[in-house]
Amino acid sequence: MLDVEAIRKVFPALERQLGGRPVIFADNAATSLKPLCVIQAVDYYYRHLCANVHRGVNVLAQEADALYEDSRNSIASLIHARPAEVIFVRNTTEAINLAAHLLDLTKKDDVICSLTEHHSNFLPWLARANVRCVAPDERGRVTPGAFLEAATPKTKLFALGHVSNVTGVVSPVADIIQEARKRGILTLVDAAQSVSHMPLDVQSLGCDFLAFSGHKMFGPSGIGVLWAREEFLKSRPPMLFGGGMVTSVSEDGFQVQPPPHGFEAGTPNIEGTLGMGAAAQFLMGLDMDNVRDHSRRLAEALINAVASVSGLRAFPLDSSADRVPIVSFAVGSMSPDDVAAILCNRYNIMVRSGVHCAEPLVRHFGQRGLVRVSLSVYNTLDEIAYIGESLKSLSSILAR
Amino acid sequence: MNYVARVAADAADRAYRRYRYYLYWRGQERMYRRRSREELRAAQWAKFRNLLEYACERIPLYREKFPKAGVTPESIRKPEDLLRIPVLTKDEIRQNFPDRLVAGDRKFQPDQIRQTSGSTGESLHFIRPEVGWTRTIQYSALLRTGRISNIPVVSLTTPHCTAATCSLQEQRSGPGMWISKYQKIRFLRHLDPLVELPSSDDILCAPGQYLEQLVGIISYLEPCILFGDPVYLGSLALHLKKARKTVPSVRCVVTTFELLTGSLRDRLREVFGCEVYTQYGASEVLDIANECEHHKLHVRTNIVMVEAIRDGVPAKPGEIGRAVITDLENYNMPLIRYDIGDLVQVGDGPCQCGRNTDVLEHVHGRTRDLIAPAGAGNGRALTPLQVDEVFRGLGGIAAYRFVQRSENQYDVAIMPDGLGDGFDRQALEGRCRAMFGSGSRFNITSVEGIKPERSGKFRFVYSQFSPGVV
Repeated sequence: MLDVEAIRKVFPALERQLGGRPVIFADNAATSLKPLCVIQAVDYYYRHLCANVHRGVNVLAQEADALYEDSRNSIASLIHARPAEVIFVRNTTEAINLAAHLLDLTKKDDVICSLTEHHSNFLPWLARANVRCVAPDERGRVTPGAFLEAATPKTKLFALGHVSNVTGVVSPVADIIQEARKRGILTLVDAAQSVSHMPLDVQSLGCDFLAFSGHKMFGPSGIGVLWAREEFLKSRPPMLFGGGMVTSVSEDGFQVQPPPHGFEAGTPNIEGTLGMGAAAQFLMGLDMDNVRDHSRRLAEALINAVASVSGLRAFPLDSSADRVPIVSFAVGSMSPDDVAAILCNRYNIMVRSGVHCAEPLVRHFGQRGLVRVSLSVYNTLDEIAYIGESLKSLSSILAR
Repeated sequence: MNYVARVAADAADRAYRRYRYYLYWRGQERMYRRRSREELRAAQWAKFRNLLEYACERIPLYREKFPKAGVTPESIRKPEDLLRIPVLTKDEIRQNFPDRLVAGDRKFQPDQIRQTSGSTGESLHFIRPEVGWTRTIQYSALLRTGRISNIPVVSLTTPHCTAATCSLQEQRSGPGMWISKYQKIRFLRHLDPLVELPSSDDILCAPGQYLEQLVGIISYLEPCILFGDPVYLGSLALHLKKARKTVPSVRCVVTTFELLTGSLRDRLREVFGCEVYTQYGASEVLDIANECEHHKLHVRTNIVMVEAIRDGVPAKPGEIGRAVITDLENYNMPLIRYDIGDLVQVGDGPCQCGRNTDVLEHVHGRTRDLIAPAGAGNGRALTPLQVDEVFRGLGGIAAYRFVQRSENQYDVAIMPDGLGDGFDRQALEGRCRAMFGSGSRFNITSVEGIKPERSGKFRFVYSQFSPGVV
């Protein structure tokens, strides 16, 4: 079981107060707070290194190299992958765009997405291929059956969000991937919301691509990861060309380094990588099974707290699916921006409002926008109770 | 037939309501003229005491805050006791809205929860009863033209505001325009006289096509009154001036939403050939004061109480102070001695127009936009209205942005008006030095356009150095 109080102590941002009152950070689906180890990793780089990587033989450069690759190893360990298949990019969006590039899709190819996808796992496909969307069921899940029903002989890829950033519902991606493999359909998993809530094992999942960001798993922003099976990394040229990704260059041509370095052109976000590596170490130190248990407890408490507020509707209406502690809702017909602003100003609860970069899903619920509460390892049951009471207080002034 | 019956019923309802509004405003006018100032103040004070009693008993924030300050309804016997009542700040509203600012048993519709435009800083939420800008606009019509029938009123405001409200969530922009079906039939126009023109955040760098479209619409409608944001109307006026066009039907211009500076007033007067009046209000309090034909701002003494506080005490006539407002009619969410974030200059009565209300000379802009020049005694600052005098009368300037970067360093961005030979840089610099001190440095640049803030309103004068003191 997680010692939440001990965890909270290593997140300095939790000490922040507004108006003399503590802040409840409930916008973790947007980005997460950073533990001391991540801050120290970035700080160490700036104070003691500041050397470029993969370019120098001096001591500082060598140390930077070692730390950089160590971070790659940590990420690989986190997702049970081979380091050579871990490519550092800016974020999940760039990771998925890189995957789309590697797949070399055309408008003749079908890609199956679900309506629950974040725009970053929808638009790269919409821009390149023919996309068919699958609606979630009444519990907010996308099922293997729905994907298979939508598949055609031209279907090349299932683009799967592991956890919806709007509803928190966990989709049965392992089952979907299994069915896809039987039919020779490739799979990409958007793990941006799941990586900080549950163990990930690309080997047992069986997917072909996995994408996630550093900043949602307690790491810095500007860094993310695409994991891809080696066969894809060797079959297509990189997306970016420049320094650091070649073994030799002449006037007539160049030789690209093997993966992963061949896909990391230019000076990378070194400090971000070191921070992300520290974040991976932090998560592994918590034990991801414990993290998952805590996540489930928070999710249950959050759903119950929100359900107890009259005049408030959470989506999906059937809340029985497995989920992480993310819930989106509407308060009567109040503007979600108004609700979010009041929750911040009056109750010091930081949430998000709007379509959450998932406009098709929000419209599917018949809404123009929703308020979203999203929690993480450092949130407590007391905070959830306070969120519930605050919502009740706000809702109580509304006429029915 | 059903449609015809519905329209007929609607038209009758509108006519009836307009007549009621006319009676209401005629009653207001009579009250302001026939009652003495003392009588008006006595009635105001009685309303205030009722509100105070209600707030002390029913509103959690005031129930807690006032006793700490030693304030009870019984202890506030006369206007001089007002200073003992602690001022309500915007931060307090944000931190206590909604449950601690309303009576526990009151319930509200979601559309009664409104939001300010945030022009004085960060936006805040509030609850007010619907009063209806339409009535206010028609009051203007009555004041300016003596009648309210057959008065088309064309409104041009920010993309986030209608004539009735401001909402950051909704933005009106593009070709859309609010025009009632009654506008299409000339003799029925008076039933729904308000036409809201499409607006754009790019008003100060708007393409000629958009402004030309507005001119076309206005020419078709032949409005009697132009209503709206002075910056937006000013841009339209500049376009008319450049195109050498006029709108002869306009008999007066009424501005609100933003500060009406001397420069803008001069331009509107010149182009439309009529008088320009300002209406002072706010999202959370609506109608505060209206400018009369002698250009004094008459406070709506029966619905609002306005104090101008300077150095903690009431400002004297002619002095500028922070506006502290009490809405005497909002029992949904009482605002008692609310620091609205504006600067007002106290007037002195009686006014030649014959109205006996409290009077303000000018609204000077927002408190947060004060500029404190180097060497200003006690950090005494200049207001946006005062800074505007640097630019007033200088040709060649469509708009400006004046920013204090440090104690004696200023950035002055000028958007040329495209007329004549441009603006006289030397003359401008001379005026700047005269106002801000000869030791100050002015970085004067030409810009192609000036963008508004997120609210759609403009911030033409402000300091990045330190806020001045009033």
